[in-house]
Amino acid sequence: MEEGAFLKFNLVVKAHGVPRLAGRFSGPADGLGEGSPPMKTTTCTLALLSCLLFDGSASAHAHLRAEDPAAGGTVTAAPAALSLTFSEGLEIKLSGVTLKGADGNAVSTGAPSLSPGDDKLMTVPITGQLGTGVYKVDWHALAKDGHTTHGTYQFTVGH
Amino acid sequence: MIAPHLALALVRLCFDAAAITAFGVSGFIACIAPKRLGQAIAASSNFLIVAASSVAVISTVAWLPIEAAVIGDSWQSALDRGTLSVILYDTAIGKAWLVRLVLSLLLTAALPWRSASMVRLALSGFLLASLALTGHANMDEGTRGVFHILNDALHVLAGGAWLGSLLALPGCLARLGDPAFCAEAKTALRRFSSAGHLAVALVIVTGIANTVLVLQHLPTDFTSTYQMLLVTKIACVAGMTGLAVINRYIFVPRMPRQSDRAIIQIRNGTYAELALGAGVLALVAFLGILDPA
Repeated sequence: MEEGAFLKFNLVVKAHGVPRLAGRFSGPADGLGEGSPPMKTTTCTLALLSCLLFDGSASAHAHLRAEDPAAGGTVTAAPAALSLTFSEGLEIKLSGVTLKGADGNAVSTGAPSLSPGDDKLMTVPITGQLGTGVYKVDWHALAKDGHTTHGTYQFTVGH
Repeated sequence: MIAPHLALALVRLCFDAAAITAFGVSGFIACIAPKRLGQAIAASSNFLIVAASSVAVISTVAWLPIEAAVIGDSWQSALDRGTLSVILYDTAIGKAWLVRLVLSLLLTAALPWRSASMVRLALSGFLLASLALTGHANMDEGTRGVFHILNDALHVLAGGAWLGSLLALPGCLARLGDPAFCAEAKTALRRFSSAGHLAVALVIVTGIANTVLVLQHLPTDFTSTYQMLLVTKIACVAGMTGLAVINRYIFVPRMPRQSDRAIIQIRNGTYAELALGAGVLALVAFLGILDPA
């Protein structure tokens, strides 16, 4: 916020400071022979240069923000589903998880779905049996902009 | 074999360059140059339009399988019918791809009509704006999301108009010395100057808004590759703006006295601006596959 305020201040100062400088190049010496260019626009342009620290077109990746059961956590009862909350909206058809027990065997899961009204929350029903033990979740996500992310976390069912 | 995501950046670079070329050159012919000069520039820059339209189609067609390879994390997925059909029918990227395919095919279909610059301008404008449908402005929801997409589209269009029209500028400068075109070329330069001020201002304002929306802070963390490349891109844009200002306010005023020399200086300045613009496009393509952390 401090920086933003500084830039705004800078912008105002430049907006008032530039015209005199730019004015030297306009007028009769204008090589195009007719009228002077829209100096206001030029002034704005030059003024904005002073805060040209910004700019850019970017892309967002879906990062895992929260999960239930929590990563590294322990739950006493076997969960009926896994919930994963991401930083971006997901393309659900190309996102999902694999759930594995400590022995490396996969536990069967149903099709992932997004919660209605929140395309950042993916829910995956667990159809297989979860006994006590450590489970590993390998997730992969495709954000709406086509960027893929993946990761792993563990949770424990037991005491 | 190069990694799929690197191929995606390259295909994006080709697509951007093609759409910007078609947009800027058609825009110069349709809106900046008076009629006869427009026709002359259209004839001499036809190869640019043919190349841009062809590259637009080829890069669009290649985009989908490369996207599939990125998603499947292997080149085997590139032609996997299951993956391709899910992308095509069930994702926002697929819908945007279909839009781009139709637009780029129409752009190519319009090639025989050399005077259809206005049509080409509209088609390539939509093609450029379609980048905002996937590139990520979709990270926000609601009003902010709509604003982000519109802002991104405006940023791409203003930047495309600026960079693309520079490709047509040397053709206009060369005709300043031709008595048959001198008056029209001067009119075109005057309009180019006004439109240029507007485009540059728009690029900067929308660029600032974009950064605020995406990063939500200043790109000053140089340990982040994304922010480092973003700052490099900003430096290139600042360089282009500087060259444009020098061209307009130092070299153009010299035209009445030292016409030939000033024209050569403006032309060289334009080429330098184009070189920096090519750097910006390359940076944009790579920024597009990086995580804005």
